[in-house]
Amino acid sequence: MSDYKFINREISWLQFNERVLREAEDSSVPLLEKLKFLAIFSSNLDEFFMIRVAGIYDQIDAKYSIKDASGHTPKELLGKISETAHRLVKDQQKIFRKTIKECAKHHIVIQPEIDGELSDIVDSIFNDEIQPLISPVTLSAANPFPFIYNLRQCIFVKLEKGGETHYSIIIIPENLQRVFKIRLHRTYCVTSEEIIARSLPQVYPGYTVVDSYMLRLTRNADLTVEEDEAQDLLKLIEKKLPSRKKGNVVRVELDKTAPDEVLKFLQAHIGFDNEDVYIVDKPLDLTFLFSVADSNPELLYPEHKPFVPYGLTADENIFDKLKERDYVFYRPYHDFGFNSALIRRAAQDDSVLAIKMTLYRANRGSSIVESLAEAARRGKQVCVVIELKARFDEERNVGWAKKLEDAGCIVTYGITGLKIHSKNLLIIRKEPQGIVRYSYLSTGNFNEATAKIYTDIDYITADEKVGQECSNLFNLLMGYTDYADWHRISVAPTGLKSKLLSLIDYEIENALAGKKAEMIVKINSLIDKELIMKLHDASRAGVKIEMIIRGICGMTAGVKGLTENISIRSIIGRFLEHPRIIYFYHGGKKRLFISTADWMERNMHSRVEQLFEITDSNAKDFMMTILSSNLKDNTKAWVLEGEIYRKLKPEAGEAHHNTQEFFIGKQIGH
Amino acid sequence: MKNGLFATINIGASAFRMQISEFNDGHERIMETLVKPLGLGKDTFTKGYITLDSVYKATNILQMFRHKLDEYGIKKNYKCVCTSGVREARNRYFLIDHVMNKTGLKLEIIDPSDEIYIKYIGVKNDIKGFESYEKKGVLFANISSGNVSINILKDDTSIFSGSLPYGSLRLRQLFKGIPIHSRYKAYNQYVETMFNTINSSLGGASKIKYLVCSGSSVNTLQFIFNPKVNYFHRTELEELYERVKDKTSQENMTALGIRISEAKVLVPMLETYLRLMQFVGTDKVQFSRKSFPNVLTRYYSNNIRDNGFRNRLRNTLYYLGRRYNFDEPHSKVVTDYSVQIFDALGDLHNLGMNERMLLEAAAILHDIGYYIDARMHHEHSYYIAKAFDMPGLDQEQIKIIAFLVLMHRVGTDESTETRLSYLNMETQLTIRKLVSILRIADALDTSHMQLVETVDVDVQSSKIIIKARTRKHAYLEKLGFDQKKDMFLETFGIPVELEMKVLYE
Repeated sequence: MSDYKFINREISWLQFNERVLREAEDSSVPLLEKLKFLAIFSSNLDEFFMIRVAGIYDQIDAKYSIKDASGHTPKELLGKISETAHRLVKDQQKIFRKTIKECAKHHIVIQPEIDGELSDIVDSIFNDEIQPLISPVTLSAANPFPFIYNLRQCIFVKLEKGGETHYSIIIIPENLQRVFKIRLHRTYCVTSEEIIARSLPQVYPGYTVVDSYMLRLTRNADLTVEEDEAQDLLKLIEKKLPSRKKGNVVRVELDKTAPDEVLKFLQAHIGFDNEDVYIVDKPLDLTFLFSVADSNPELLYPEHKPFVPYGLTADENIFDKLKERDYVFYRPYHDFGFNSALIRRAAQDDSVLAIKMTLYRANRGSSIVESLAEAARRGKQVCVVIELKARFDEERNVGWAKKLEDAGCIVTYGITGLKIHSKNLLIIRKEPQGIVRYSYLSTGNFNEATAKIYTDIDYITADEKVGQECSNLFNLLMGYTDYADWHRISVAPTGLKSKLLSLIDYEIENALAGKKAEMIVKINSLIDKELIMKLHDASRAGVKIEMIIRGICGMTAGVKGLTENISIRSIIGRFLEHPRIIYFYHGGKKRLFISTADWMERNMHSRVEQLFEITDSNAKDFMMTILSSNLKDNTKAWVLEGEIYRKLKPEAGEAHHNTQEFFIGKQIGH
Repeated sequence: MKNGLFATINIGASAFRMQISEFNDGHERIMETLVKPLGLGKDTFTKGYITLDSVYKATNILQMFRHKLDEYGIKKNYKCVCTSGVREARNRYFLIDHVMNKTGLKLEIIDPSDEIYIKYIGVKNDIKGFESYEKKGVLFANISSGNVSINILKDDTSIFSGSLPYGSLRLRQLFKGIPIHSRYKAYNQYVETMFNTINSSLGGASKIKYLVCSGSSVNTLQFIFNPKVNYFHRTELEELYERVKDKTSQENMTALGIRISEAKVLVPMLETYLRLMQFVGTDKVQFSRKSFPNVLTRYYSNNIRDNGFRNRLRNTLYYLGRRYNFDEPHSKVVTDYSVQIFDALGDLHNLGMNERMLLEAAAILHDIGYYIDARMHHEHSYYIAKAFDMPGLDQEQIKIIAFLVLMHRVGTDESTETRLSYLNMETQLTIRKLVSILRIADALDTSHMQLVETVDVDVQSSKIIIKARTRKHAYLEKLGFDQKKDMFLETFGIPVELEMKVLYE
């Protein structure tokens, strides 16, 4: 192991979130898009604390003190995280202040002074919308400190009555609108907590309101059995903490104005450490900026118009067209609406016998779900494999399941212990010459909403062998079979990683034999130790490796004797880079794959993922165009140098290349 | 050959398998291959019945397979067959009924001889030049969880056929109480007894040249050896045996990367393979890569053939006859006349080639019971014929042959009629038609002297005339004919007459 070096995944994740944050100060980013990046940063950080930091706390509580691959004990790691997260939150505050000043110049006023006409409107919002919903709890022997739910904003109020100090808490209800946009000659954006804070005397008649402070807790999200942790560690945690109370506090965000006595009071009643406290300026929780960002379309990215490529229309002849060749779609540049329409067409087509689909995350009111239900009502066999474990989407997932079951679909929930992450659709059609299977493999979810903001590859083919393997995959997922043969598709957890390792080994062999050996890997995360070690070996053997890793990266780049033949870049832009595309030179055969799997232990071992080899030459060219464009990007790309990311800028005289803008204008597939 | 979709579900002793194929002018396209492990055999071979838990699990699996049929819109074009794991369970009919009620799937229990026959013709259609093996001598063995089915062929004759209770899972269950380090010795002794059975049935040395195997065991060995050729060599099997014989299933599973269900039966299975090789005296065991569900699908959809079956059947029946010291010339002429009359009366009996084959078989065997006792020879012929086992002939066919030999003699008693009445009307009628013909043919050689040289059948509107040319006056034949002709009239509603003419005197 000493021959290898790893970067801790949490630290790397924080670096990724910092890259997201930096978009909010990139001068090329439209003003209101900057607000979105600030909101994404906040939302990402919330999830990070709920899941990842909570996990580290569990390790510390279980007295687990073994160093991880990057050389940190859980305690040391927590210290590092706290230090970095505090720095980033401070930076976020600065950027926020700067951005709202710019917004004000464009007549969008966030956190305005509330007076005059605005004051009257705010008062009526308080009276009509807010007051009926809030329930203050003034602490006393009869009213103990209430339980504050995860991520819920609170106002901690200091009161006086008859010379005595009282404390009270208002937990802002979840169903209360967070931000009110008041359009006068300017657009004023006022948060609900600001409105409550200025109306406190009305809330506490008979008391003197001395002061009030915003407070927000982040708790262990009760999803702590992380499948990517080492099994022995999980067992240890379970054994040591039989009565572990899920929901322990992992972060406290507190108003900068709160005096020490308030902090001590809260600490005594809630129970948290000093390093968990994040003292911030109001407002806390900048996710409300998502709602502000639609205030003026002119201050957003110009609307881009996705198009349906290859002259396809989902009409009655579509299946004949699909038999002619393989089709690659690149969202969001290509219109995902076609893909939804195709499913609708399949639902209505008399010759279609069956439709099978995986649903990991779908949008509310998904037309795809509607089409599937319609197909079932028309007597087609519709099998839907729903993943109920998609994090934070459980409730919505259960909703679809019921809707589909009611319509007569066969709904299954996959394989116990394995999250289903592969994205497949299979349409089985009885045609005069026999059964034809139309396979649809994707790197992204069948989600019409996220299809507009995530980049992903959709691949449609009527190739019989691929159809056979897609059918095998559904048979496995539905529990119809326990074994299957694979050729073009490799499936995790059984064969995907070994396939990747053997492909890398082949490059190593060639490099050692003095032959050309190279690979390009576009993924979202790299943390799997075995794969990282193999990449180290490949680098040492002389394989040229170019990696485009959006998020977590557990490997250094360009370190002499270790990763000197490896370059790593991350692209953070308008759209969330999401497809996994992998290229191997393979002795000149140039093999290309798309995949749903990130190179993480959890994806390799605890999920059903797929790696699909593309053999169609046009499709391969398309994939290479994407990879080359990603590697050419010099405006939205960050390069990893050792363990530090540096944002690329075009050199003097060098043309700007923004890969996402390039594809918006490219009209590929016409 | 049929075009379209066809599905087969095979309920084996250790797994449920399904295959759906699309046939188009003889070309097969495998659409689906499903495997779900469930050890029904483990219940059956130890307890004698399938536990309720396994019945429910089986039903769940079959419900899923039903979904696959629905997916392709397959309503009737499927077969769902059960082998020893169900066949030998006391509560098999409960399982069949439960599955029918819950899934609508109709399960059929496949006879051991049908099972091995289907596997056999699967191999025959897959291995090039297999027909020459049938001449030179081949032992075909199907080693499955429950049974070892063996078919030995030589000179286009099936000289041994049987399904013997030596399947790997059965052995494993039988000796699971013996410590692991000596358990293989128990397997060794037990397998030896299987060869005693075969040897006593063969009744003498027969040189066999080839050994061909099928069954789930082949899949395991293929996984272990990944052979480029279609055979395993003795040395590799011996080496493997030495490595695994005294190891636990867990150790073997880990060392070889096989499934635990495979590891559990590995040692008894290798024991059987090696002993079979020793028996045949070969260093190679050949195999086919076609799976049983695949062969089943092609068989039931009429997409594979067994060329030479009739010839093999005939040879096997004569082989059997000789073992019982039968009057071969008599059998031959009765067979010839039977077939000749059958062919001439096609419009009258409306029977097909299958019935013709059964008539021919019965004609060969009809007097085989003389070996035991002349007076009641028809009864003895009946049970010998009933015990006849040859892959390719099902129990229904064998039953008809047995009834034909029983009834070839005039004056069948009440018990014959009673036994006959258990059969359905259609089968009874077929038997009566064939017996009527067999009796006439038998009468034409009543003397067992082959006095009749040629026979012509003259079909007239009001009667059938059998024109026999004889070497000399055939008094007994005339007498026999008169005694045996009545059933013909009763069955066909038309009289049959004999016109005899002596050719030389």
